Amino acid sequence: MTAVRANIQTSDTARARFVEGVVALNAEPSGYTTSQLNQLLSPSVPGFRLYGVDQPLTTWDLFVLWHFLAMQMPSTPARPMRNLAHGGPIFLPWHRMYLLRLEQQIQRVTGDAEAGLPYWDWTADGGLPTDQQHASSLWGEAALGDARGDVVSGPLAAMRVRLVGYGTQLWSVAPRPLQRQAGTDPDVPGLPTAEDAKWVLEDGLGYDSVPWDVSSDGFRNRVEGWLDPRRPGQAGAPQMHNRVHVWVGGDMGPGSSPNDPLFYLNHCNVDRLWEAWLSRRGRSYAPGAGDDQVPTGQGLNDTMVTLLGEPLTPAQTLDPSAWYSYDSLA
Amino acid sequence: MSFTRDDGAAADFTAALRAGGYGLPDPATAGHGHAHGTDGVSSSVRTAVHKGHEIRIETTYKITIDGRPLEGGLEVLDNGAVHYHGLPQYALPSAIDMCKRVLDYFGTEPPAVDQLGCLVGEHGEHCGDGTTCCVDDPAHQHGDGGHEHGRHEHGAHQHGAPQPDAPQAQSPAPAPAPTPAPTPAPPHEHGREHGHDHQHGGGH
Repeated sequence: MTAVRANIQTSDTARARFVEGVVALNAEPSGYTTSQLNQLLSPSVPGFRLYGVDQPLTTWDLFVLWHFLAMQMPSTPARPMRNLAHGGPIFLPWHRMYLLRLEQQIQRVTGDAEAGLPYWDWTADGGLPTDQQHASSLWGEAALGDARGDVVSGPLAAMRVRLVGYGTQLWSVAPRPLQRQAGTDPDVPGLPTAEDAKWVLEDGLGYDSVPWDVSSDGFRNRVEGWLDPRRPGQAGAPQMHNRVHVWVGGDMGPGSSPNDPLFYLNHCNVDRLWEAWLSRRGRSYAPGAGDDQVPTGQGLNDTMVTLLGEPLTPAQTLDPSAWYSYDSLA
Repeated sequence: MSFTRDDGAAADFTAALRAGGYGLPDPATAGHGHAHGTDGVSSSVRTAVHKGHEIRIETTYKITIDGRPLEGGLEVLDNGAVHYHGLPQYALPSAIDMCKRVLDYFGTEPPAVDQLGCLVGEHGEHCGDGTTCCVDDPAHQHGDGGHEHGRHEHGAHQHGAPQPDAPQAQSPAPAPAPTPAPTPAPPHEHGREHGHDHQHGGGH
């Protein structure tokens, strides 16, 4: 049996197991302190440094650290926003690996070997009037807690943030509640819609294209959310995955965004869209062996940046069926 | 092709971390991962080919807020939007918009007092502005076989114990604010073209 990933807004079981797991991981001592991690990682990651409070970190915090570190890793030739986890073809494989490792930890701490990460199909909420989106069934005391301000209601009120992005640095801070500002950014009033999801899955669209960056047209860049030629007056405005980060705001803004469990729900939906693309177009990846301008660390058989669990290559992520499936790809 | 399955056991789970990470760029050639943007100066290059002609636009920003350099630096995307690595999903119409957003998000003070001090292979020195900077210790060679990571002798701190009296790493914050001015100074922005290759110091 493998995990089945379900819609968090329609599966009370999936939501309950997910919340149980993330709260447990957020409280589970990792055995590492911030100062120990500084000394451990600085020799292999030039320029890496944690700042702030010396304190014990949890398993959850290690995932925050991993994401932030991957985001700092250059992929050459240098292009804006392109690193070894974002802004290039590696975006989808890297996050598939990353989510899988969290899913495994949820399975471990809950004792449920078939627990699957749920996804947040934000296109459903994106169909609501913009002033109602922050009050959908995702939010509130019975679900994922407050949509705005400190998360002090619901089960996620127990979670604490210890590592925060401060500009391009990662700081260890006195533990505090999660923070959100859902739907308050006037530039991003609403979530992506079903029409947007249909557009990223447009027939005939390839996975990615030269120059393999945030200007490329292809499924990867459309779903990551760096371009949308349907909206020529909004050059650079966040779409799809990017839009969800910006729309939620708060701790979902900086590179430490995995602090908020919503990060995983957002990326699980992105992964679900990728799985829909793979199932339609074949389990392929680009760039391939004959392509030009391949950015370093983003080839089909390159080892992806790994701090937790077994390292994988993009090739090893193209078929996740040994691990999980989705209840729906529609 | 499928995932390599591991059992999720604690020992396996942190093996990569204990090894210092896998899949990382070669430290000898990668430079610092987030070195773009030093002393408030950052550059990015856009290129395009049109009717057989090569277009190259290098944009350099020199940004201060309240007179202090913006740490991290900005980049220009091909569509002209401005990006700041510290807010990775944002792309805004102008550098001023981005600086306003940086201030909204991060304020002007670091989120904590830095207790972590200098790393192995560094020592604290007095900087010109009265703070203490961590600089490479030339007497300390990484990977020389004679160094044991996890122990250092520079007086910065001991493992697992905060050392508030130790030399503190300089805090190149997004917008450190030594002055009480309530309104951030508009960033100085200029785009200029160069005929030479630009190096980002290894950043991306």
